[in-house]
Amino acid sequence: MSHAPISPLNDLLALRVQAKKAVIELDAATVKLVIFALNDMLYAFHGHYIVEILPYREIFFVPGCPASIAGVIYLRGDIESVLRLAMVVGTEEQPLTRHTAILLGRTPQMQSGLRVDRVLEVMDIPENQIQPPLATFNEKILPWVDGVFTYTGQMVILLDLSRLFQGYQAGIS
Amino acid sequence: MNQQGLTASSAGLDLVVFTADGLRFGIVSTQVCGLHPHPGESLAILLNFSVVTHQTTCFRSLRVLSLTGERFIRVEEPIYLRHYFFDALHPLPPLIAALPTAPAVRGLAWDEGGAVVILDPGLLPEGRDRPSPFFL
Repeated sequence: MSHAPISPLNDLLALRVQAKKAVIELDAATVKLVIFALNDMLYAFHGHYIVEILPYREIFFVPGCPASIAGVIYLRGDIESVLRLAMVVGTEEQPLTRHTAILLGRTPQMQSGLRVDRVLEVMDIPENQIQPPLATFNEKILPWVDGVFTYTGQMVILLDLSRLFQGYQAGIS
Repeated sequence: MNQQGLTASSAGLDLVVFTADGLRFGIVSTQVCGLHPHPGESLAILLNFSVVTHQTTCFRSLRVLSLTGERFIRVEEPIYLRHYFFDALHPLPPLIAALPTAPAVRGLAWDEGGAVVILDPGLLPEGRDRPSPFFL
């Protein structure tokens, strides 16, 4: 038996190892995210914080609220506040369209609606695709950013709703 | 709501409902003493909100009980007494309840016309104590 042509076998086995790794990566832990747009930027929340995605409905103003709180909505016998998320993250709120939606967000400490310009998708993303936030981010939102990832070639900023609610409340109290 | 406002039975609450400066408000009936034709204080000024629109040119003054006696609030007709059942009365959502800016806003009632902001006139700011508007 000749010992010469072993290199192709090594190459082949190496490729197989790589292929197996790729399969393992597909099985990597995933997180469910709700991706939405505010102005021309994409953002996401962890799916476990979003109880419901509601079509836009009439919002009733309540005196004493800062401009960043649009008011309240009636939802199946309960009243929910609605936060203007665009104002909270420091971007311009788009005019009302048929895509405007209200995310109902719930954390252990707080629950509120969040007005967004458009909901793009609810999807599972491998955790390892989420990269740490860039240091160049707007300082206002940096404490609330969990990371960034790409969706259809565009950067998405993953926000932690719990920290956002806490930071928002600290800012207005 | 102050002690005087706690006259509600478990079945609900009687509110005097009116429009003022474009928003719908309700005050517990026991805190309302009467109606007067002379001018009263504007809720838009007392609570620091922008007047949405005036529904009418027919203004009246609601005489209400406050901590310092009686006050007159400028309201628009129609003004009516309505009973709200327990299920139609709501506390403020936590995000709004935590705000320090409008202590007189105590809760919300909901009917076919939408939200009715429940006021405690005893907690309305005096003219000089009005909170300054803030923006976030």
